[in-house]
Amino acid sequence: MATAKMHFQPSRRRRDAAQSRAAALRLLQVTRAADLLPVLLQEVVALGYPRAMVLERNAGSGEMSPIAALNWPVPAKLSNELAGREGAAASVLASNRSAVRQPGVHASDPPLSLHPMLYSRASPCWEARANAENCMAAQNARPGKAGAWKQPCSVCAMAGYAAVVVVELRGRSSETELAALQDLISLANAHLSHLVKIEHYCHRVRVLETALAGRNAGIPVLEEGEQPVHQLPFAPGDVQAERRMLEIEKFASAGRLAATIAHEVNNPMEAIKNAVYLLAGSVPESALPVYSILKSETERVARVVRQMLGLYRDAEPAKAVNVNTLIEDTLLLLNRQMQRANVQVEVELGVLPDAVIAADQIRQVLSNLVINARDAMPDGGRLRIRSRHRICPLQTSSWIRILIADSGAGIPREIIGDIFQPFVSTKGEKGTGLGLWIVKGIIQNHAGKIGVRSRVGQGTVFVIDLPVAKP
Amino acid sequence: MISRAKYRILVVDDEAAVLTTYRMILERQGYEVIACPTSTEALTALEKHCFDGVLCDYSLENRHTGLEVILAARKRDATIPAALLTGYATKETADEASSHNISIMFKPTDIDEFLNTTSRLVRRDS
Repeated sequence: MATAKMHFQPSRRRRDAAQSRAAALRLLQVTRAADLLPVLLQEVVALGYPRAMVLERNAGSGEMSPIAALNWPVPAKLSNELAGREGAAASVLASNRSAVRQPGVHASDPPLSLHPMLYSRASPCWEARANAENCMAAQNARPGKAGAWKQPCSVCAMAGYAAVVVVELRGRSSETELAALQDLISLANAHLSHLVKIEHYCHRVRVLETALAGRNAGIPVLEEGEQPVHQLPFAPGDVQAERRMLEIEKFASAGRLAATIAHEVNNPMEAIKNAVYLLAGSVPESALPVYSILKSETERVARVVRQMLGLYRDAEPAKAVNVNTLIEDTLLLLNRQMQRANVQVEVELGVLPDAVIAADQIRQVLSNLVINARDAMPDGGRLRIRSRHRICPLQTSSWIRILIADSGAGIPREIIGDIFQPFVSTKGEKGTGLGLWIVKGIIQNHAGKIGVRSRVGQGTVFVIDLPVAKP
Repeated sequence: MISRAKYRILVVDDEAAVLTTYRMILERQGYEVIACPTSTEALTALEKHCFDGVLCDYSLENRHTGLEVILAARKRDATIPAALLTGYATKETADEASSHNISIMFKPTDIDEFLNTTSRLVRRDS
């Protein structure tokens, strides 16, 4: 038997693909916007290019100046042809398309490849949406909006960015290589837009928290004179911190309403309820019917407030709960809303084992999705909820599958890939764009999975799978 | 023989109407009640009297918390039954309360529940 060692030579293409994937992964690990460009330049140079730099557009003069560079001693003044108002970089920004600039004036100039990086989150900030205003940052992100970059949103003060990555090529580069470079930079841009948006959001929420004076919420409140730190407060995968982020969102999106209920309504409600109780003995017989109404309606408000505040109570640890009970609770709570919206609710609950979950969080997921479904059917329709116990073929694990299906407008293919991202909403001014992101976060915290299927004009189905962990 | 005819309870809440009505409800139930609107007054009361139980709103004046008051009471009597009253509690607060064996009652309270919990507390029924 031949025992000659066989050398397995991976094809060059496969090696390049693996290299690109690794570079992409490293880029996506970046958690702070300020760190992204340096990492991008490192990855570009690691791909084999001699040097690279990033030029940013000066809003006033229209000229481009370097904000980051690797292996490139930044000259005092870049050539007009490259960085001037009408230069190559500016035209790449205007067209939002990459371009290769061949050796120009001097034959010894190496060819350069230029790639635009424009802030690209087209969804408006939640503040602008809540105030039914236009968010400039989002408008400026739309393609073809030349000249208006870096104009901050008048509501949330967020500015986008407009930059060009300049990469020195070594001799002739193939189409494939240039395409790979382009892809890497596009990925970096998408991620940078995402980070900029989130950092801005965190900053705004901190500003809002001081205004709301979130006492006892366990959320840090800025002290007098303390500067808000404009950075992402956690590393991806940090479950504790993501939960804290979810808490912040809960307060921010309900915003003033939550603080109002918690502090302003709750205490007078308590006093009124107590007073009604204390009056019980002294009510003259003729006044009993009126007293009875006073008592029952007071109890009703108290129940509603308790349920709403219940969403903010993190006191429940994860324990064995039957998901069908949570589904029934949610439908009970939202029953009247569904009736008023002319939504017919069909429920089909299979026999489920108990699962170890955080009941309040799953309740939030269910009510979020049910309300989304109702909003997708403004003229009424049908909501179907099903639950099933799925045992995997090898009998080593089992899952609880929950399906929530509506007969609404459906989600267009262009955005369905994005709906679990933060700040994506189809509700115009009414949505915060964070509901599904939170839902996904909660499901992931349970080591579960969530997916969506939709057909425009027919409806949407959300599918949730929760692993059954034996208690 | 000194026998206290009634259980004495300290109630603390910075909302005047809530404080008054809690006091009236508990007095009607047969408790002797000392009601304090601030944590400072509560600490003074703790020095002057012995209590069979402490009921404290979580959020008090000037960022003081009911937890502070209860822990001060525990310094004098390590096993004194106590409960925090609050509209909502974060996991941190809930964990801290349970680690000190302090009950939590969520507002708006159900009065029967409120009275049952108080009764069990002062009788030291676990």
